[in-house]
Amino acid sequence: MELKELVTRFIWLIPAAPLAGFIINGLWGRRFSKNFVTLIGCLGPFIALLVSIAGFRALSMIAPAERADGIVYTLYNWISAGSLHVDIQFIIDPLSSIMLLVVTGVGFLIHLYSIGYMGHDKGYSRYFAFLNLFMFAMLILVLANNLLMMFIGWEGVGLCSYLLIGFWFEDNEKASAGKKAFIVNRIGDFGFILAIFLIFTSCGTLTFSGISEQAKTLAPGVLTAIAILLFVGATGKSAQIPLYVWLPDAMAGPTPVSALIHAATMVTAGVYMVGRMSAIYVNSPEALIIVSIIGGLTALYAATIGLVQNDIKKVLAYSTISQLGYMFLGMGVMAFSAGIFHLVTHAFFKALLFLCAGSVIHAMSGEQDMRKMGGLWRKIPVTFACFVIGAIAIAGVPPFAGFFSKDEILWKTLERYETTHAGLYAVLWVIGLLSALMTAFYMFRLIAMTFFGAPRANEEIMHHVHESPFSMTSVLVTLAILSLIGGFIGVPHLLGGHNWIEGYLEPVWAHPESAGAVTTEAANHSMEIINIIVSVLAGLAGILGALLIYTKFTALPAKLTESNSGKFVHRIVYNKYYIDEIYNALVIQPIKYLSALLWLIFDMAIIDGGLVDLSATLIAVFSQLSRRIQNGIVNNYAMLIFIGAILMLCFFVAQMAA
Amino acid sequence: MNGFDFASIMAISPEIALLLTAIAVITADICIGKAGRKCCTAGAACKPEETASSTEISSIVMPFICMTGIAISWYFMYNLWNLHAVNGAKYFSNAIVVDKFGLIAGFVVTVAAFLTALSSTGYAKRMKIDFGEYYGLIMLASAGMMFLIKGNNLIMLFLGIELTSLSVYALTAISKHREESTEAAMKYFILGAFSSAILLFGMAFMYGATGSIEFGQMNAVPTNRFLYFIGIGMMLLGLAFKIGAVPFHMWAPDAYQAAPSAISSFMAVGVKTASFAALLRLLFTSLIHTSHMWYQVPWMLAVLTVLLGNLTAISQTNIKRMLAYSSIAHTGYILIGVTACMGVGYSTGLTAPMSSILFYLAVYALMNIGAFAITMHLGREDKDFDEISGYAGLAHKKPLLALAMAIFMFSLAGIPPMGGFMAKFYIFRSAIQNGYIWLAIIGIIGSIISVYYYLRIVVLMYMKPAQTEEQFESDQSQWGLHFTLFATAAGLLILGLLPGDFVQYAIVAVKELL
Amino acid sequence: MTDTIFMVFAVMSIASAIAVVTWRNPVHCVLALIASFAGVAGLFYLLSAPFIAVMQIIIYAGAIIVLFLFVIMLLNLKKNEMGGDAPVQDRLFTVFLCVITVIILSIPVVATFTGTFYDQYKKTFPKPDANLGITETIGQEIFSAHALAFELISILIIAALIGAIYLAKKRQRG
Repeated sequence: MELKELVTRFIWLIPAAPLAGFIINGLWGRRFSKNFVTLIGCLGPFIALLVSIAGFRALSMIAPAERADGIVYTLYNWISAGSLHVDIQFIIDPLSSIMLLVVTGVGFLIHLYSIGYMGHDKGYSRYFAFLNLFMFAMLILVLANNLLMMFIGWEGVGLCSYLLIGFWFEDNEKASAGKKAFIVNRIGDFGFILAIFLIFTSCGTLTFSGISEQAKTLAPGVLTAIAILLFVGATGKSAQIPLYVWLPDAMAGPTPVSALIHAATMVTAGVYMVGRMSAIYVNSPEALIIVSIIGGLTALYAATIGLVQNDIKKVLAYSTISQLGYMFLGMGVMAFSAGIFHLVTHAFFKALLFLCAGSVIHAMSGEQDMRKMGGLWRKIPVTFACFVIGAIAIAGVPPFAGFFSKDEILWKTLERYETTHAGLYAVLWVIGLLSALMTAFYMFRLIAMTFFGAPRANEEIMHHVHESPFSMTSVLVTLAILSLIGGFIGVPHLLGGHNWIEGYLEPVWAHPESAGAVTTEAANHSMEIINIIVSVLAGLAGILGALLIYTKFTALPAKLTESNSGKFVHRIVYNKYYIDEIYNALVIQPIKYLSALLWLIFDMAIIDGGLVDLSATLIAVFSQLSRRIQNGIVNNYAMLIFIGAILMLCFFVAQMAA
Repeated sequence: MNGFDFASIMAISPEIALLLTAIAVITADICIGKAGRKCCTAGAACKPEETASSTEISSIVMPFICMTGIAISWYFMYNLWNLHAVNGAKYFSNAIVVDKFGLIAGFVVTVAAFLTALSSTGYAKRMKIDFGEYYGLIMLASAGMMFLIKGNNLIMLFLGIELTSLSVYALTAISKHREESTEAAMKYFILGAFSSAILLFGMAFMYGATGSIEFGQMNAVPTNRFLYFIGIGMMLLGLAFKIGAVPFHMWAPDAYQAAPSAISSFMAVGVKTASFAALLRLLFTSLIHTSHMWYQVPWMLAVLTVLLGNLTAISQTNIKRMLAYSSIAHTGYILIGVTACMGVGYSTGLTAPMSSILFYLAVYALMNIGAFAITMHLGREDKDFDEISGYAGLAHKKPLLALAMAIFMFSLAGIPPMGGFMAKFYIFRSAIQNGYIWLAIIGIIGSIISVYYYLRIVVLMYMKPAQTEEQFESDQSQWGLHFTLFATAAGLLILGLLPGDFVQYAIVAVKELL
Repeated sequence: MTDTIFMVFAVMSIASAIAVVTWRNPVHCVLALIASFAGVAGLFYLLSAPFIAVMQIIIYAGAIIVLFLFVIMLLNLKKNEMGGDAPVQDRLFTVFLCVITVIILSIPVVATFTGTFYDQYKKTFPKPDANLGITETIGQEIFSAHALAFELISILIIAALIGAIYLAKKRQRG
């Protein structure tokens, strides 16, 4: 049988295998031995990975022109109510195949890592069940061929994220972090739902291919509204301004969860969705500008906060937000391939960084504050080496993965400089460059504080510091290799590559009606070279700066923060610009008061007092009355039937006359 | 085709399978009973264990014969479904029609019978019921329902109703040692005979008015509209009794409460499904063209049934009685669907309400069987577990059972993502589409009221402490019930989450009828 | 002539039916019921349905009435065991309902056979075949067109038998 047919027939296995794992471990996990739980938990993602690889292989055997149609498999006619017709339909096209490989690949690795990391947790089987459920939901999201199915996956990953952030729910703070994530995401989802309704009413269909066809015909206003509402959904899920506030708190969950859900996969769902909806976006320049501005601002903003955080996971969390901003910047300048490329490389190196951080935390007996670390590199050399590789990758130093993707986004932004809104794109480019610099800086600040210098932890903890078991380090090494070579799928033409990923993804994207002004080849080349040099320099400058300041001139940061103006700025940035407090004062408190007021007026007085009690009493009275009729005497029953019959017949007699 | 040729026999092969199963069960009962008695009459050899073991054997064997028979009839139904030439074809001088509508309704009925037999494996023995008559009558009743669904003239309609009803009257009284059982059966019988007489009277008028008893032949403009309307009125009344519409519902609470739970659910599901199928077939082959003149009658019936059913259910303390009123209320919802088909005449407007009724009947079957099975599961000795207050604290002792019960209650109340929600959604939507907005609103009010008494049980199970320690200990092997509960709960979730294909089947089936 | 005979049978069936529900002695009631059935049988005969007329006599007046008598004799209820009279207002209400029913049911009959409708009706409605009600025609119909119904009736009787015997017999298993 041909590979394509085989894959078509077995696409359903990709989500079904983790689902089976969830069901088995969820229902009977507590009765199984730990090894069996592990086996079941890892088998599902592994099967999904194998099928995904087969799907990728099958897809690349199809002629590039036909790839956009993808491999489609209809599992079930899900809803047919009037004009709404939705199938449970899976699609593997270039976009979803890349995403599938990332989700199942990184997902599987993180499952393996979790074996060691979560080995002593009493909720071991519950953890694997949730992780599998997450894989299921994420894969549904990725494989979906219509918006409604994607929304189901979207909500599913949100639910799993909530469950896993609050995994240690005994801890009140962690449970409330889960709630915060859930509520903030609801706001985004509200936008997403509205967008779905709007698309359905204006396009009459929810399948992606149908939407792409209809998109051009829609009124510009509707199109922009849809695009912005979708983007509101994306800002929630992918932690962009203004809905990013949940992601730093989400670090309360186990570290592998942070790596999988809050760095590599789920948070990139918004980027993926914008890519899927490229047909909507390319036809709405206004929405594109908004996306790129929000993306750029988030990249810069989160990077500044990352500079001063002391919790190792918080630094990585803000770094994630910042990198997601980068991806949206790429999407916003219609460099969809570059955005997805960055998504892929980011999945590799950010998962690596998180898992390394997990390994550090593991070694430090649960300590997350970098001020209490230091001098660890001799004790945990593998983790250290891997972390450095990840950090170089994210800093954008060639030939590591991050360089190629980040450079691509910056270049595409700069390229737009030639078109309209030149000033805007120039500013965005500078912002991107600045955040690249800061990224390099805070990553190496982290390395310096954690691995170099004198140990700041107490004797006992330092005594216990040990390298993680092989099951964890092997995953680290694998991801490190991926971070090292992952960028080669997108080497730009300028550097002698042929940018495979761009060509591979190209058929998926929609193209704007009027292509932008084509600049001359030569100007492009020189600009591109300048771009590369500047961005590499920025990365190197950040690295060197951080290493110098935090290893040689250790007094400098303290001096800076204690100077008058420095103190002020530091306090604001350290407290994340007081955004949580501002939201609290401006949004949460007023809503609380308003709801208390409404509760008093409507709930207590009108609804409870008036409607509920009154109707309840009335109903109870009627209920008793009608119960009285049913008195068990058969004559009465017959009489009632008789009366009913007479009334009915009277009606018919009346109709005869008509 | 008129005679008993092969095609005609195949057309009623599912029914034949059921009837032969009934005979097989009764014969098997006699054989096993004889074996048991023989050891008793042998004097010294009479050991209580041996009698017990013969009871034990037959308590397993009998339901298995039934289930095998039903499985065979499913096979025949499947064959008929696939025979495209057969669909809509009529046999036995147009007395029987084979179409997808009938096959789907018949499938629902036989699933109900199958689950009844399955859940009775341990139950019948515990309730001290004689197996031969019990399972034999269940099979006869199912065969009656199948004929009722397939019947294509008034005679078949009447005979189907009578075969079903007579078997069910006897089944209501099947646990003879309980006095209230016999009493309720007697009431049911008297009132049933009363309504059958009215139905038959109506049929006679109908024949007088139109000159035909065959469905599809009566739809010409009536020669005598006086007789015609009285005929319609009386026939509606007779059928309204069978489906338990207010004010002809009085038999239902008494009968449901007094009968063993397995039979209550079989009655509630099977009789109702078959009667509704027959009603729909009668309406849409023969009466629809005048329905704009009398749609007010089902309208009124629907309103009364929804409101009275739900209101009375609130004040019940016995769960079987509560479920009886709830099943009356559900009749009301289905009647809303029936009304939604009327007054619009022949048009595409009929497909949606009719297919939603079919879908509703399937969902209704699962949730009722499930809920009654819980009362069977928890019962001890020869009683069902039917005090509502007894359910307090169930979730702490038997979490899975409580979960299943919660699924049934949520589904009955029509809360997503259960099947009950989709079913109600389709019904109300079709009512609104066809212009019966007020009817839909009343239906929704009714189902809001119903949330109260369904969720009361959930609240009791999950939020109240148990009354006594050993309250939920049950004392017999329950695998049949476990399977029933699992199948119904899973089915409800599937119908709720993935209704698309099933609705498509219903639409295909209904389109054939129109 | 036919009209006179019709009147006799009609009055006989109605009057004795009223007697059935008003007389106090059960045996008398049963006898009145026989008279009522006989009147109905006569009406059937006049409608050229001799087979049904005979069946009416054999089954109802013969078998069923005898069964009634047996039951009454076996129960042998004393007067005070039969239950008292219902209150007057209940009885009046029942009478009222009966009268309404009679009126309702007679409306279509009266309407059919009077006025302009009757003239049209006579034209369109075919005269019944004289042979329709005779035994031969019914026999042929039952065993050809309605063969399935005939078979189904036998199954119906089996079901009724099983049910009745089950309820009547003593319990075997404990």
